[in-house]
Parts: sequence; C-alpha cells; structure tokens
Amino acid sequence: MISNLLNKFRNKQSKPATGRSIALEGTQKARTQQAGNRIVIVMGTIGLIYSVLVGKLIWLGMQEEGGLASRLSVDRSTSAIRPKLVDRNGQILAMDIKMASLFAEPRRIVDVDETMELLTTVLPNLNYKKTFRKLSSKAGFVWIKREMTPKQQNEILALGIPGIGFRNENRRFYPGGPVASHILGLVNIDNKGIAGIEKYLDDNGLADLHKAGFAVKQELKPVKMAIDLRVQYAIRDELSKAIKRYRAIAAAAVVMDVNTGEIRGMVSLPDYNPNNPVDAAKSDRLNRMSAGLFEMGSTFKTFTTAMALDSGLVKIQDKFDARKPIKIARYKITDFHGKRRILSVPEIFIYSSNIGTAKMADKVGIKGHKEFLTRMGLLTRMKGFELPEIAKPTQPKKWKKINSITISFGHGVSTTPLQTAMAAAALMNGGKLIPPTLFPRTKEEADKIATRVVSEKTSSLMRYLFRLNVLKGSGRKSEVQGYLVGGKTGTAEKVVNGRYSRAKRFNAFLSAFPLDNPQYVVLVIVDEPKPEKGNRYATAGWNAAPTVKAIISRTGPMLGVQPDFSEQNTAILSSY
Amino acid sequence: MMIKASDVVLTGLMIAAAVWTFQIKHKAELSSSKVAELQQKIDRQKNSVDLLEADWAILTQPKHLQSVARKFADELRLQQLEVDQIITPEDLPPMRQVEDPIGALARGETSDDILTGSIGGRKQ
Repeated sequence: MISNLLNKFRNKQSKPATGRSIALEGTQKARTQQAGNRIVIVMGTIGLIYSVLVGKLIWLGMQEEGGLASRLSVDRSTSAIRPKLVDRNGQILAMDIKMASLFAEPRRIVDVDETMELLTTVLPNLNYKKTFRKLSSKAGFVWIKREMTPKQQNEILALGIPGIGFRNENRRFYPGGPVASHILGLVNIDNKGIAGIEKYLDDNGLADLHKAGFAVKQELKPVKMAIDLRVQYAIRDELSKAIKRYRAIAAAAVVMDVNTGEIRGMVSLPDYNPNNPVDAAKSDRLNRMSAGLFEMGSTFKTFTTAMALDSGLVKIQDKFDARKPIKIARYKITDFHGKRRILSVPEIFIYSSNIGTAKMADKVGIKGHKEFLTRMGLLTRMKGFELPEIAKPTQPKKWKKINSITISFGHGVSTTPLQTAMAAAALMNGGKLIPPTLFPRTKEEADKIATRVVSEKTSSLMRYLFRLNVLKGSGRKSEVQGYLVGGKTGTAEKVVNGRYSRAKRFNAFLSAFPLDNPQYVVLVIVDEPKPEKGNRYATAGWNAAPTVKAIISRTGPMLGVQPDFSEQNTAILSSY
Repeated sequence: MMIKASDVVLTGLMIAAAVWTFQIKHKAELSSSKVAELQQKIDRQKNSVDLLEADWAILTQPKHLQSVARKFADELRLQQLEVDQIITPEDLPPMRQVEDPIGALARGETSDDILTGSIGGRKQ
C-alpha cells in the first residue's frame, strides 16, 4: 500500500519534467527515485519501531500487575503448618514458629565486600571466610544463615542489601521441653509427626490435608488435650525426685479420671527433649506407661480379688487357709509376709497373701480367670487409645493350673501399666470399663462407650479394700490427710536370665482417691529401686507408695478434689 | 474529506473512555498493592503474636514458676499450700454486720447525729 502511494507521488513529481533535456530528466528521475527509496526505508523503519513500541505497550498493559503486590503475597514458607497443641486450660504444649532463613543469590550481588561488611554488623558470628567464598561464587542460590530471630531479620531488611532474601520455615516448638515428651511425641525435619500425638494427628487426616496442599497457608484450629500441664509437671517433678531418692533406673506414673478415662498427666522417666530429640531413640526412653510390658506383681491381686467377689463364688467374709505353702508340680507358692494362719478376704488383700489369692483364683477356675482378665482389657492390645506406642500384652499360650495360680498374684502375664490403671478405674467407678484418652471427654460421652465389667457391689467392696490397705496394710505411706487415698502395692521380682531375681524389683502402687467417691486413679511404677539411705527395704510400700502420696498431695488441689476431714469415713470401714 | 461532528464526538468519547479505564486500572493496582502490603503487615504481626505466645508459654511453665517462687519465697513470704487450708464458702463463718456511717453519708442518707465541721457549722 505504501509503495502504491509512493508511486503516485513519484508520478506526480515526474510529470512536469517530461519534455525537457534528457540529461536533466535522467538526473532528476534518478534523484527522485533515490529520495523515494530513502523515504520508504525511513518510513518503514520508523513504522517498525513504533509498532514494536505499541506492541510492547499493549503487552505491558495486558500484563497482570507483576510489581510489589505479587512479590509480597507469595507465601514463602516451605514446611507444613501443624495445629497448636494446648492442655485443658489452654496452656500451649506445642506450636509452630516461623523462623526466617537468610539466603543470597551471588549472581545478583553487586559488591561482595560491602555486603559482607553490612551483614557482619547484624550477624557478628558469621563465618567470614566461608560466607565470603559463598558470595563470590557463581551459584544461583546459597544459604547464609538458617533460622534467625525476627529482630535480626528486621535489621538485615533495614540494611537494604541487594541480592539477598529470606525464606520462612516452620519449626515445631515445645515450650515445656521434656515435660510431656512421651505424650506429645516428635516431628521430623519436614514437620511431620513421627511419634506420640504428633504422629496420631498425621495419621488422622493432617497428612492428607498436607498432601492436598491445604494447611499450608491458613491456620489450623488448636487441638485441645485432656492433660493438665500443672499436673503433668508435678508428676514429673515427683518422679525425678523418686528416681534420685531410691536410685531407680526408671519411674513412671499416670493420673486418670475414673469417670471419663481422661488422662490428666502421664510421665515416664527417663524421657527426652522434643526440641532437641537426640536421645529419643535410646531404648531406655520408651514410654513405660503404654509401650512397656511388665509383670505387675501383687497389684494384680486387686483383679483376682475383684474377680472372686464378682463371681459370687467368694464372699467378703469367707476365710482361706494360708498356713501351708501351695505345692504344685515342682513349684512352691509361699507368702512374703507369711501370717501362717486362716485369713479372711480383706486380710488376704492387706497382707498381700499369695497363698490366699491363689486359692481365691482356684475357686473361679482357669477358664473364668482368663475370661475375667480379658474382660478387664488386661490381656489384649489397648484399643482406641491415641498414642501409636502401645505394647501388646503377653500371656501363656495355654493356661494351666500353675499359670492361673501365678497370674493370680501377678506373674506369668505381662501387661502395660496404663491398661492396669484403666482396669483399676473400672473397679473404682462402679464397674464401668472406659478406655483411656488424651483428649477431652465428658462423662456422658464416656458412659456411651463404657462397658460394664463388674457389679456396683464389687466396685464398692474394692473401694473398701483399697482404703483398708492404706489404713492398715502395705499402703500406709501413701495416706494424705483429707484425700482418703486407697490402693494396692506390688513388688515384683524381675526376670533376669530366665530366673526371678531377688535383687531387681519392679514396684508399683495402684491407687485411687478420694475413696468415698473415687475421682482419680494414680498408678506409680518404680523400676529397680534400691533401699533409701538408712532403710533396709525396697518394697513398693517404701517407694511407690510415698511417691503416690507426694503426687496426690500436690495435684489434689489442682484436680479440684475437695479435701474431706470429716470422720464419717472411718464409720464406713467399721461397718464391714 | 469532511470531518463530521459525530466523528469528533465519538473520538472524544473514545479517548475519554480510554483515560477512564486506565485510571480505574491504575487505582486497582494501587489498592491491590496496598492490600498486599497490609497482608504482609498482618502476617508479620501474626508472627510476632506467635512469638509472644511462645514467650508467654515459656514464662508460665510450671517449672519456671516453681523456681521463681522458690527464689522469692522469703521476700514475698510465700508458703506451700496445705491441704487443710482448702475450704468451701460454706465453711466460712458468717459475715459480721459492720456499721458504715461514711458509706451511708455517701448514699445520701444523712442523719442528724453526724456532726461534721461543715454541717455543724451551718447549723449554728
């Protein structure tokens, strides 16, 4: 089109020239033609430049704002967000903290010397040589410092150094350190739960949420737990004192609400610091409460007695001959604190007679014995409990009479202490077995999932026996004025190289309070305690029981149990 | 070629529309960058709230409180709570009725028995 126009223009120009001298005509013609060509070239070039400019303008106009807005709105956090974990009072147990990490893009750095100089004003500990080398390299991306404080971040931002930037990373933080380590568990470097409740959360939807790409930007609602941090700490403090005082290798305890199954505090020592879990994998750091299997020893007599009373085959007034040891196969069953006389059921309980207990179990029979312990949830793997670390109890493949006899006083069956506490709670709360939980649960919810395992009457008899054992039996050192503590001691000899060892003991005190209306079960275990200085004994009454006392007197007020100093409770006892 | 009046009007309208559109776009860009800035500010503040919460959680750890309480036990005359110190409101003795003449005065229940300087002065 342009050339057409130009041709016309050319023709117009050349017309008046026709008819003059040929030479002139030629020069003029040549000149006009040349000029015309030049004009075409210039116009074309200018047109091209303008079309490029217009095109670029249109392109820029079409471009979505690529400025500040998009730079700021990009979420740079790289690891997944986890919900806060809070205790029943809202105290934080675990939370995410965004930590900024400083990186550089060496190719964009203008002046390495100046950059280094500025950086060291804020980060004096920076390794000068190493960082200098990093910054002088041709790399596209290098880390300068991981996880710095927000204050340092702001100061560096204020310096306005080109070529450096921040990336936010989520880090799990446990303000209490080791205080609830076995309950809360751990996360790995990608903020994924690998133990305890953290793993439970991942197994129950959080991981899927992460995979789907949610839960990266928006916040998650805090997860409330049933434990009470104050109670948790008090238990831990008392246990660590007990380990020192009795030179034990380990100790553990749980405080559980008998009516709801809520765990108010659960500690197993030694533990680890989840903020720096270098010790977490050591074999002695396992959660002894739910992942440790033990022959519970005499505390098991609680269940044998409850079984005998609940079956109706044994009455509380019945008497059993405990004068002679029981001989069966090549074994001889004797009493530790032998009374060598005929004992009533309460006497068997408070003197912890092996012979008497075995005879009570014999009345129920092997089948009934196995069925009862299974019903109490002591022989199967705990179901419905949140922690992934749960051990499966062991029992003889085939129950023979000798098994039934030894199991009646707590040898031959290994179970977890937490299950033992759960079963004891059922004996205290009127006969309802309620699985323990680490999350809040109301009484109504608990009643829905509860199963009746013994009668109300058996439960009230067991309360009486528990209280009696603290008033007159082996649990005397656990009495706390006003809290009506009751319980059963257990001193089991540990199996060393296939034989029961006299020197290594596993002690337990299974207790509940207040016994006129039980609200909490407290179970303390002490592994391999030695006699306290100036004492010859290392049986449960001398270490596990006083530890229970310390825990109850400290946590009772926190748990909201009203102390009772009225005398009516002794009246209950004399009525039997 | 004649330039019609309608052409002038339409061209003017087109230019006006273009200017107007550009202005709206510009405003939108400005506000979106403001939104982003505010969002960043919110994020930063949320972050510092998180950090303060973490601080608070550390400071209110039972372990920390216990050590602080021990340290200042003498100074503040702190004592270990004993179980028998816990009572219910019913256990409290009934409240003693206390005469409160100044409170009565404040409520406007003036009585002639009270002799204060000013009231007495006016009387005389």
